[in-house]
Amino acid sequence: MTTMVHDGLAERVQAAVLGAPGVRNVYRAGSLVSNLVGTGAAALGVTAANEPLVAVIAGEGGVRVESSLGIEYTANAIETLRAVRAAVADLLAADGLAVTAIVLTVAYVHPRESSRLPETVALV
Amino acid sequence: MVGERFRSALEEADDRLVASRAMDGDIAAFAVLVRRYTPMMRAYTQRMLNASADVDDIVQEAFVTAWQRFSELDDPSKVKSWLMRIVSRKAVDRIRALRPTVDVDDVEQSAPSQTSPDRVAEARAGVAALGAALQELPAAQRECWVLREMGGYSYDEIATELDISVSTARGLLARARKSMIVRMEAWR
Amino acid sequence: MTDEHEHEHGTPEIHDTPEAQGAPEVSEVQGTAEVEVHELGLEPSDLDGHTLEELTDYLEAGREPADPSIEGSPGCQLALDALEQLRGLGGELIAADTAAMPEVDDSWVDRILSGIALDARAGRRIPFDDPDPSTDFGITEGAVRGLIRSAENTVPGILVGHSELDGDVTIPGARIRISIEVNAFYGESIPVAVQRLRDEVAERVQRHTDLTVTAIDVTVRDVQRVSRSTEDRS
Repeated sequence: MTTMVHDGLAERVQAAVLGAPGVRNVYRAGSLVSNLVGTGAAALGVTAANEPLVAVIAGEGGVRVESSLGIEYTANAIETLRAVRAAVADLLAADGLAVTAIVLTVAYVHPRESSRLPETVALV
Repeated sequence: MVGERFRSALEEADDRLVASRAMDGDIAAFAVLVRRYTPMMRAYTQRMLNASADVDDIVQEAFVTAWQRFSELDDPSKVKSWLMRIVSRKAVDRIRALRPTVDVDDVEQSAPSQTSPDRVAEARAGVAALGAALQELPAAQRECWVLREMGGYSYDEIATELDISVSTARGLLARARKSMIVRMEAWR
Repeated sequence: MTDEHEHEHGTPEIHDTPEAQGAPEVSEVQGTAEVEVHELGLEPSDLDGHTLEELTDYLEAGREPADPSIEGSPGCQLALDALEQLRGLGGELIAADTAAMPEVDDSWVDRILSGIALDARAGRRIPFDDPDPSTDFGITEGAVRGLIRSAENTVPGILVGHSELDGDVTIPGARIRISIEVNAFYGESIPVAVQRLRDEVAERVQRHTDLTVTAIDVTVRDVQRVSRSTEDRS
């Protein structure tokens, strides 16, 4: 049974993802999402020009989130991924929603030399 | 900047390194290929179409296809001829979209005696004369000639590409060559 | 498009008679070659019965095996010269056209790049181990190759090319070998640079994946001369 999810949820999830430490940008989820659409779940927030790039899919028991990330070099990838998971879980919990699955894929690691975190000296 | 130093080393690197890096997904390397081969691809497309309007669209489509189908490039050092084949196919597709069948009996567009004095003055012997003569060929003859002499296609490949028989291809090429030789002689 | 052959000393026209279709007798050819002025003609009647197509094939076969009826025909020789010149110019034409093309500007490159999908070259998905069953964390093979490439930023003298992860990367903690092809810059110590690259790659892969790297193989494929402007050290 699908749940009608509030307007703007995908946008807020995307904002939480982007706000997590170590995340620089989000990419189209691509083929990851298309695998899920056949399960009878409602796919939200996927891929048109001005729509969010994070996939938020409402299904039984909660929400499934998928995202493809560009991350900073300075934090280990696993730390950044856990930070994203925590940020998304916090946001959804505030709405009374559980995260049934979170699928995160690092598609790009920004080179160390282009790090934007303040504690790193940028080589210009 | 450290980044710039290496960008220019990449710009100067051989095709094999640049193409294999692009195949691995490196956008910077792909951009090097775009800069390196856009002029040749534009030049070839313009000769095939005998017009400049659709050239950039065709070259863009060729690069997009190349990116998607990189896994089909067996030898990265051959990326140049691979790109040329892709753009050639796109050019023929565009020509066929506008004119579905090759018109084998197309009458020549203009006889040498109608060539304007300005044209003759420009068309010195050599490459400029050849370019001018090529522009005057009927479409089917021009396409065969460009595929053969600029694209390096075999007769069989030309026949496949244009969906005509091999003997038709040979005939068109013979007429194209005769036409151009005669024109270039007349302009001497 | 008729072509005229001029003959001096009243030598009779030989091209209109049926006998002219065969190879002329040797003495006749020698005699006429000295006195006739030939203009280029491309019909079989100008080519002693040969067609332009035949001559093209003959030229493309490198004039082997030599055909006396072609080699002995002045008309054929003129046509062969013209065909050869035409063929040579064809190669020059694309070079000339290319050189005459305008500079490729950044907006063109941006236009192309905006039309391609990054994930087309993402490769396999490399998972991270995590105890939470609702969690699926991964990094793409493409991202790891990008990490390997970025190691060159800290290794003077190396430009990274193709890299491969050999092993089943889809199993968390899998043991894999990394192989990297590189170009080296002329004038740099290759063994020093290669070892430095290994260290940099090992660090980056360890930081961002769960992979167990058993070896990093580096192959130098080419040595490039780097132009002056790229030798500045910051």
